[in-house]
Amino acid sequence: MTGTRALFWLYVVLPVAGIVLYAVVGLAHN
Amino acid sequence: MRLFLKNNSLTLVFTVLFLGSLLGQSLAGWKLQNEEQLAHDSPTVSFARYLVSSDFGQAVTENWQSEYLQFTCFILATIWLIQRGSNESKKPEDAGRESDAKQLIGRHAQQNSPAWAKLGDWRTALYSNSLLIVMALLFFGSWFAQSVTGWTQYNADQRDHDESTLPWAGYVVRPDFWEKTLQNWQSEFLAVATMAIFTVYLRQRGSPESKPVGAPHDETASSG
Repeated sequence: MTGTRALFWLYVVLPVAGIVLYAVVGLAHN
Repeated sequence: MRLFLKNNSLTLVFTVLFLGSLLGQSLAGWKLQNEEQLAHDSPTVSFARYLVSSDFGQAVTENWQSEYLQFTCFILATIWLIQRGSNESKKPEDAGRESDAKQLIGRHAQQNSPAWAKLGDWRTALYSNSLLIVMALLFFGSWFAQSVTGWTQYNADQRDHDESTLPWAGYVVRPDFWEKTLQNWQSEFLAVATMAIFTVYLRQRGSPESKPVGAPHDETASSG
C-alpha cells in the first residue's frame, strides 16, 4: 500500500502546487 | 513492481494521459502565444517562461476548477438526491447520511477500519467528510488561481490598448471571468446528468461504471 499512498499524496500535492504557482504568477505579474 | 503497476493501473494510466495532455496543451499554447507575439511585432517567449505565464496558468486552472467542482457537486448531491435505476445513485431508501452502523464508525468500526473512523469524536466527523472537503478546497483554490491569472491577462490586454485596468474584485464581476467559468461548468453538469441517466438504460459489460448487462432498468445502485 506504500506506493498507493504515494500516488494519493501525489494527487494532493500536484494540484496544490499548481494552484499556488499560478496564484503567485497571477499576483506577481499584475 | 509488476504488482504495483497492476494494482494501480487505473490511476497510473490516467496520470500518463494527464501529463501527456498537459505537455501537448503547453506546447500548442506556447506556439500560439508566439504566433500572436510575432503578429504584434513583440518579442517571442521561451517555453520555460510560457509555463509560468498567466496565459498558460489561466488555461490550466479554469479547467481544473470545473473538474473539482463536478466531483464536489456529485459527492454532495448523491448523499440526498436519487436517480432511480442509475448505477451512479443510491437506492431511494438509503438517501441521507446513513447510520453510524452502516457507515462503520465509532463503536461500529471494524478492526481494520481507518483509525479516525474508530474514534467517534471530531476527528471521525472530519474524516467522514474528508473527500468532499478536499475536493471543495481544490475547487476553490483552482478557481481563485483562474481568477488571478485571468485578471492579470485582462489587465495586460487593457494596457496594450491604453485602457484602464481593474482591481481583482472588479475583474471577478466582469463577463470575461464568468464566460470562462461558466463555459466549463456547463459541460461538467451536462456530463454528470448524462452519466446519471444513461446508466439507467445503457450498459457496459465489465465496467463498475455500469450496472450488470442483465440488470433490470429500475434496479438502482448496482454495479457490474
